[in-house]
Amino acid sequence: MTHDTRQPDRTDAPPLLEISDLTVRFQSEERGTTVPLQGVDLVVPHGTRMALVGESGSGKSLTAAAALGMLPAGAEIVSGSIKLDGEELVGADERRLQELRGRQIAIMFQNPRGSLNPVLTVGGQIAELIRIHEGIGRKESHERAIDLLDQMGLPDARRRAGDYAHQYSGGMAQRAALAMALSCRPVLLIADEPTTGLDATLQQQVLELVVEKVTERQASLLLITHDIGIVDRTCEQVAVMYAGRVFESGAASEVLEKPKNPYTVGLLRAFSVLDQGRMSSIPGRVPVLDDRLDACAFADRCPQVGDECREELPVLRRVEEREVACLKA
Amino acid sequence: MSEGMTTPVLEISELVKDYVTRDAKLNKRVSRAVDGVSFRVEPRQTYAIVGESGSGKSTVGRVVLKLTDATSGEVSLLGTDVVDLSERRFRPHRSSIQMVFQDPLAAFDPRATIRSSLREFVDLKGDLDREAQEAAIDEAIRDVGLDPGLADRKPAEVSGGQLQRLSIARALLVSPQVVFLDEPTSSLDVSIRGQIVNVLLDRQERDGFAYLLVTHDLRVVYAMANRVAVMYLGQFVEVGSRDQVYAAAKHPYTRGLLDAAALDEPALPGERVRLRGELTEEAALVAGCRLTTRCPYAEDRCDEPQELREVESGHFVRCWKAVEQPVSIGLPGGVGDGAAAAEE
Repeated sequence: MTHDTRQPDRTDAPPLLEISDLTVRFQSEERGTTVPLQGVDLVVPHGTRMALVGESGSGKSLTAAAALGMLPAGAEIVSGSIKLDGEELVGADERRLQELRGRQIAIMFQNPRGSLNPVLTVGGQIAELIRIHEGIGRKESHERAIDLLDQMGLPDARRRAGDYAHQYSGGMAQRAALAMALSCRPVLLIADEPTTGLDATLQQQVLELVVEKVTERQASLLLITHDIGIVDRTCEQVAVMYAGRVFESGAASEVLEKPKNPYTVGLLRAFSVLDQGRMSSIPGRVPVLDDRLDACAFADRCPQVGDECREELPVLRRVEEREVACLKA
Repeated sequence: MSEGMTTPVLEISELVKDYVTRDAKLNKRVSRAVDGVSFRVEPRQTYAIVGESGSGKSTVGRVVLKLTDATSGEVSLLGTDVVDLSERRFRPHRSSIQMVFQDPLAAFDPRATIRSSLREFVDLKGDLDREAQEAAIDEAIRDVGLDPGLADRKPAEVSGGQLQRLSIARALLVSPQVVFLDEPTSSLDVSIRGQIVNVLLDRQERDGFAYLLVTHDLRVVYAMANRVAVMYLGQFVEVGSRDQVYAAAKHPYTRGLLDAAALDEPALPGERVRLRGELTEEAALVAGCRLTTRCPYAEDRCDEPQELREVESGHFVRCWKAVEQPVSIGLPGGVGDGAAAAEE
């Protein structure tokens, strides 16, 4: 599934999305102050499909929320930068962010019904979006909405456009959510666990559809998933996150075939089936960090840990065609 | 489908479960969640039922545990038919069959300590003094690889993986003969899924009970199961040993599931099968094969009722094409392929 139709980046042009040293602090009653993002570095080039992989608690969804300017209450950016096509989003005013969310960046969530309005028809709400963004008439926008639903493989789109979200099956709702996300021709689609909870056959259909439509439009995809097993089918690039930092990133083929970070190795092993019955896993759990760490956050779970790992923060550096944050790599 | 001479821990025959619902006009609608399912679970073995949501796989387990009543059919637990037993008369049998749920957080009393939830189960073991009870709890927790001190916390104060291990410890406290595992790893991160599977396998190896495993996770099934039944809309469509089902899958539905799961191994024989659309309850109302709207090989004869037929010893398939014309559905052909099938 790796059609490579992307255009080469103009070398002097900024990448589509560039996140540098993003640090986010979070205040909550139960946990007090935590620092879930510990200096995230992530670059999504134009026309590229990238997977952001990690366990729950790794900060992958929070990174996406920050890029959308939609951090939850209690979270604040302490330092770092998020640039979309060279434009700084950290500190940008809400009106500008809203404009970008509509036109440049779109998002698809795990629960498609959560992004569909339950009291409007599915076709009606997509048409409304198109009308607002493109300033076209009611009738034309409605036709466009139907056409878009049809392109997403919704069976009998003209009739189903008049239905409400609750009348859709899980697969249909995810198709409608994709139609909605693509209705304003975004250059970046962020898909946050879009197929988690769906059955494998449906997951396969939805992922293929997302890849096809994003590629067709020469847009970029940031696919957020805990399932490293779907990366090679969907994305050209991958970034593996752990405890609020990117641990390894590069071409999916490189990272999946020859992982350099012990955490990536552990995640990949957790997916492989062992003959004798026993399955591989990573001992322990993702830590909750209440301050910026100055050591490797994976040290306590790492089979290759050394003394230096507890004394120095590993930063991303180039190792054999990819970036790795590991002192041992 | 019986084989071997051992007495099964669990034997299910022709199990049917209907749910009656009423639509907006109060018209009765019957949906058949389980439609004539038969299988046996041997001691020390893991019998897995796989399928998508809506296949009826969890309902089978719920009926076996008497969490819901069967519409018809037999469920024999260690030789006793339990379908018609009253709750009171079933109670003595309860400790021989236990359950581990998908969401461990929902399986514990949120306000009680884990230890007090476990204590209720130790009480079922009969008369133990307080000290012996506590020792039994501590041992059960050590047996799933955890520190007994964790039990003094409340469920929300331990991680999901730890809590699932504690719910396994609880199920095993009463020394059951068979444990029903309902999606035991589905609410957990992939990185710790293996921990749960390994604890389950270790305990089975040591104590020799059987598992009835229900899940959509084909990796977990591959690691754990001896026999595998693939279920679609209330019916078993393919049944066999783990290797028969994984390495020699015949039914287009099984092959579609395996393809979608993108396992690294074993390699599938024949063409890749892509299933279209999704499971809908209406498809269960037809007399013939229920997969026709999604199957790339469907033709007229598929609208006739399909029997579960044996293609090789212990390997059953509910698809006439898989039995009679394997090549036509992209399976490797061969002399006699399918000829042995019609027997039995």
